Amino acid sequence: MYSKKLKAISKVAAVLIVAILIAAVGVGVGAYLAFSTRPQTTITTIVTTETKTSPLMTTAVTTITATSPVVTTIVTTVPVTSPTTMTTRTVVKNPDTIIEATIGEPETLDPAWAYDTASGEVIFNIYETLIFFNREKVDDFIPVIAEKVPSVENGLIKDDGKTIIFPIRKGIKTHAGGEITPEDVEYSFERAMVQDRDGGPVWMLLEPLLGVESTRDPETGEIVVTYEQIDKAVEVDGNNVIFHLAKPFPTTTFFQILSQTWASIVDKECAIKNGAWPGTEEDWKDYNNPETPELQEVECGSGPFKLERWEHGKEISLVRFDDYWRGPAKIMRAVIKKVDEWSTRKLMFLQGDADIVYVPRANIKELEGAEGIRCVKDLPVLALDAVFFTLNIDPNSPYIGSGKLDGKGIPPDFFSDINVRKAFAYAFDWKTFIEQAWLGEAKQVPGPIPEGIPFYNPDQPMYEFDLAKAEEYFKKAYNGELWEKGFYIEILYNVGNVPRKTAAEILKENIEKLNPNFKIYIRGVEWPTYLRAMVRGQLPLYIIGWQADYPDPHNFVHPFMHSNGAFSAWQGYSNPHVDELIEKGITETDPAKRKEIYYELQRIYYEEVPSFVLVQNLGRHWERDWVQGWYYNPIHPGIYFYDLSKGYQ
Amino acid sequence: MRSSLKIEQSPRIKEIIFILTRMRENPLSIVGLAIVISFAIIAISAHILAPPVYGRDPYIIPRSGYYPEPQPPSPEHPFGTTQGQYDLYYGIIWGTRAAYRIGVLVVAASAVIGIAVGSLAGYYKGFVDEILMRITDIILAFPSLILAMALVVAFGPGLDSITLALILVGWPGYARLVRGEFLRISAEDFVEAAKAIGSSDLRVIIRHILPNAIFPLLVYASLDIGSIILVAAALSFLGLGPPEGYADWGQLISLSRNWITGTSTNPFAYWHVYTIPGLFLFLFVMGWNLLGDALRDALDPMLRRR
Amino acid sequence: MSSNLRAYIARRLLLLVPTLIGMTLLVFAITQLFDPVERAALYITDPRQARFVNEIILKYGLDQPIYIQYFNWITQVIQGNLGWSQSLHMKVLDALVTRFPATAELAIYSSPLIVILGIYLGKLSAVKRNTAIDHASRVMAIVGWSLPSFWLGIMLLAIFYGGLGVFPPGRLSEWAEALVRSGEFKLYTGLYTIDAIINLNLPIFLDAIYHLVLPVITLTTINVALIMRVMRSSMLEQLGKMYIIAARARGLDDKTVIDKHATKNALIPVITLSGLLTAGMLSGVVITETVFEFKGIGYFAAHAATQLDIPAVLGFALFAGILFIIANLIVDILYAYVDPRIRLG
Repeated sequence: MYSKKLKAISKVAAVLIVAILIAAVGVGVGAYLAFSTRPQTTITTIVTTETKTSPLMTTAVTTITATSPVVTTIVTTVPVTSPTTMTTRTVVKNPDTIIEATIGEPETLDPAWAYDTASGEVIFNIYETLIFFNREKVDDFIPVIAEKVPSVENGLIKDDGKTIIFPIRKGIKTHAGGEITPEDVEYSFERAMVQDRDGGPVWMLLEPLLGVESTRDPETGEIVVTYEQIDKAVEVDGNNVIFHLAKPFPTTTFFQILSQTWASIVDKECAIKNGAWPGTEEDWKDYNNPETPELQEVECGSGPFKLERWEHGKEISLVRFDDYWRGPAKIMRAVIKKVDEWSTRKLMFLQGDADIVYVPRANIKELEGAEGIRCVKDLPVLALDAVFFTLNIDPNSPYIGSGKLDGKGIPPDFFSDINVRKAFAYAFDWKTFIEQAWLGEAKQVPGPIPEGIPFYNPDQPMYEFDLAKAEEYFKKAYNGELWEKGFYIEILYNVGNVPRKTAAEILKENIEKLNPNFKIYIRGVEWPTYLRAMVRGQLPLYIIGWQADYPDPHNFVHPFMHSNGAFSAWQGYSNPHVDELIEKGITETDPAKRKEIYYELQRIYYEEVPSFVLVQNLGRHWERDWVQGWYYNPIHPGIYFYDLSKGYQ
Repeated sequence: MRSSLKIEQSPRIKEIIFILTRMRENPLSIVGLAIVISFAIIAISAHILAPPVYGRDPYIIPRSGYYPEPQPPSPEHPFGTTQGQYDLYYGIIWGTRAAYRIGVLVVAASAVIGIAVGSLAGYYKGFVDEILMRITDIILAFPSLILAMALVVAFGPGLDSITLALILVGWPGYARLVRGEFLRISAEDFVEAAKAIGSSDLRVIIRHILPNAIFPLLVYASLDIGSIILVAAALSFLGLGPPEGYADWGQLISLSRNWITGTSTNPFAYWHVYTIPGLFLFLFVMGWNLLGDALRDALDPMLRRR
Repeated sequence: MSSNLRAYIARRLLLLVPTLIGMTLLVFAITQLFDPVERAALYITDPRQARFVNEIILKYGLDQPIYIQYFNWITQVIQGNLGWSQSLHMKVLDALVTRFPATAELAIYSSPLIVILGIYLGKLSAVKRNTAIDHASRVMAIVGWSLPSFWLGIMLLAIFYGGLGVFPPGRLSEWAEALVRSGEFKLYTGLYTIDAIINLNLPIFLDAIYHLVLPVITLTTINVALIMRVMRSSMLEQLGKMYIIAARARGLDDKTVIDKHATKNALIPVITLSGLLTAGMLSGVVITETVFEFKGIGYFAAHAATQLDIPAVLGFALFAGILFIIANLIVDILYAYVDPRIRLG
């Protein structure tokens, strides 16, 4: 009885379930079609690429001669339209929401904690800063929370740039229901300095304001600043907020720092209510370098969008703040989705379910001829990839073979010999690299300053592919001993980064061509292994990139050339004259003098070649053609949604 | 002694013949066997079918350029090229070898460890059994893919790490199986008899119990090879496999991942990069699964009494 | 419940603790294979932060001896704090809780389908042994089992979503997401189908099912073979048994013989396997979740494992371990219930 029923039941159940599924699928399809806005017709224009010629920089405030405008030229492809000039348009999907599909995910919403661009993208839409970049420009500013941009002319900059006064705009509402006051501004900066987490962005505020890189001693972890220092750096005076810088600092650079997410203005009451530092001296040290951010999931901003919902690992949605002081945004909602699979992302893009997507360079061709999308290319990215030599390799490194000059390895001071470094530099084939690994969308620059940043010297000589010269320098090294004996070396790359792998392979191919005793082995490792090897000085050379924190040459020369620089320190590169120049550069306010300093540094970089730059790459932006209002600013961490709208003109 | 040897041996040979006959009756097993043998031939003659570049690790696929877009099949590249211009044909041929290498290594090692642990647990029972089973339980409680992933990350990505990780994750399955068989067989009369005449434990285990426990093990192993290859491919797909340019099917499929949707004019423009490695992977796994399935059918004592 | 059974259950539950400790120790053992700098890489995602390596190691205690690290972790766990997941940027416990519904929804729909289809096909194969039907269904099942899951998933997406524009990835369409986000649609369990029923919202229910179609088909195709195989051999074993032959000899018709006796006994090992299969699915199906954007526990665990996010992996290990033991326990109880020999013996 029991099993008969069981069989009967299972049979019926199976049939029922299959039937229900079929019915559900049928109804689901129907419902889907009924409830959503699916493209009914197709568009006739194909990929249109736009020409944008807008200089990214204006001339600086003082007497510098015109810096070269960076032109973002794009090749226009003539749209192929059908003879009937009636261009039928697709019905815009989700008309009041813009959906961005990308691979990253924000780490946090706390502006003092966030250093990654994914977090930055969310924060700079939710929070606001005292001043902000004027659309595409990286060195021209508009007043936001501040009423005016301080300058020497309007008297708001005094003491050789060491005192800067910001009058605060009235009537700016916050998401929490209050209004921005000078106390909020003071609190925002003091909170950031109090928090100063390891590996965070606050060093950029500490450098100009307190003259230190960290609130703590790097060896012991002890706090080495006083509350008084922090308190005095930012003060309220009536309706103004006054900054007291520790030493002279180039004003434009300081403004660039103030325009970014770590300088966001936080609603003080809201923050304190959510458990942040109360703003007083008492127990302030307890809030220093916390393990997790204070304002991780909540936001206390005043920007054009509010946080609606954050589903970790999946998406974050921002909704329009109707009381925004500049007027509400044109779209109701912005959703940033994390979609790791390129295939899925692409399908979403083509179906119109995503308005802006990240397209890996290798897959650009797949979108050619696709309908309804727009691509803007040749966007200069403020980042450089370079090959760094470790001058004093850890003798226990597993990547130097025998560790001796015997043809089976290299001695730890291999790259201390400038002839070896030059030989490697001349052995790199930039043309092939740019053409094949970057599909032409990159350029070689002399370094370490990328194009688009002030005081970039376009006429600075740089290395080029010359195997004859490479051979010459190899023969010079170790008085000819190297050429006789040969060497063996391992080059590591960080798995997942194809261009860097390709660069390593190009080096290998060309160097091995010169002499059969030259052997290079290429190995891909995961980031943790790479980091370990790099930090321990075990990598003979490493290929890595640096992205601008702020668009000032100091942000590049320091990590590339200063003895305490992020990269040069591990290399073991130290030139006291260079250190002096760099320190002078960041405390010099006269642009003409700064230009001299940075031109000199670029020359030294070429001559001493502690590293050589591979490329500065050019980016692309992909969006559906119903998205309007986007413009490019290389320092933006992501999409600035306030200016965007959806629809056809 | 000699005569008893003979009596013990011939039933076993009869057994094997019997199994082979049963399998021959089953068309599926023929297909499976054919597939497995074909792949073995390909693997063995890899040097001839796809001569490697002199002086280089033969598992590194030669490439012609650095362009990312895969090229369709041509006289130069019979199967076309993958992302980064690696010759797909070469990759497939040497990938067969890599597949066999990983499959055989992992199964053999897992089996050896599993037999050792399982026989100890099943024979001695009691406390030894409890301890050993607790250990296998701990490993089995982990979803195997996740544990394998953590191990591969720990050892550093690559085929050797995957091999080691899969062995560490796989032996408990064999141990459990062997233990079960041992528990069952230990109760049989001939085992009692062997013990009664004073055979040492080792002798009893090796000469009496193991040979009878071997057949379910063979079934499990042949079914396992397929799973191992699939898991290894999945790990490569997730980015934990050998570096780009290494001849491994999973690696080739992971290289094809971004090209599956084709271009806007032709959704199947890059069909060769995912279809061909996918097909080979699928056929290989299927061959072993068919074989294992048929083997199991032929071995099951209950099913034979028709 | 008999006291025997109660004691049995209690004993099995007690086994939970040493197994969990064992699992977590295993994870800690694996972490010891890493250099503290490598573990710090979790927190240092950009070369710009790399100069703070030593501070990071100090801050998170990455270079302390294993027993101290383990002790710290255990004390926190006992207080209910599973730690912070750096790779997911949220508390580990929150991650587990918010991630689980997606996986659960996949498992709840796939599992019964797999089991029922598997039992049906297995029985069919066994009864019609060595006929065309037998071979056909065995081949079908093996084909499914041999397919790489990621390949199948992406192909289905390419054909249906890419080609026809139906069955998109993700759990809900944008309009449904908007409703959920706005709070109009209340989430009780996190499983959209069930919540839709509770909210009496038909469109969202259908939308959720709509998004479940492809992933469920993928999972079913691949796993049916597992159940089918066991059912078939178990069935055949039963059919070959003495009592069946005796019953047939007595003249009972095949139908009664098969239904009444064979099936019931054949189901026993199938139950075991089904239970373990479901538990396994509830621990996450990494590939399917990744391909179809169903970000559940599997995806979370895989992500954490590759990033060396130790607190997250440990949290996941606890979760999976508990699930495994409970599943085993339930299966054993059912076993005991169905087979009186075990219950009384």
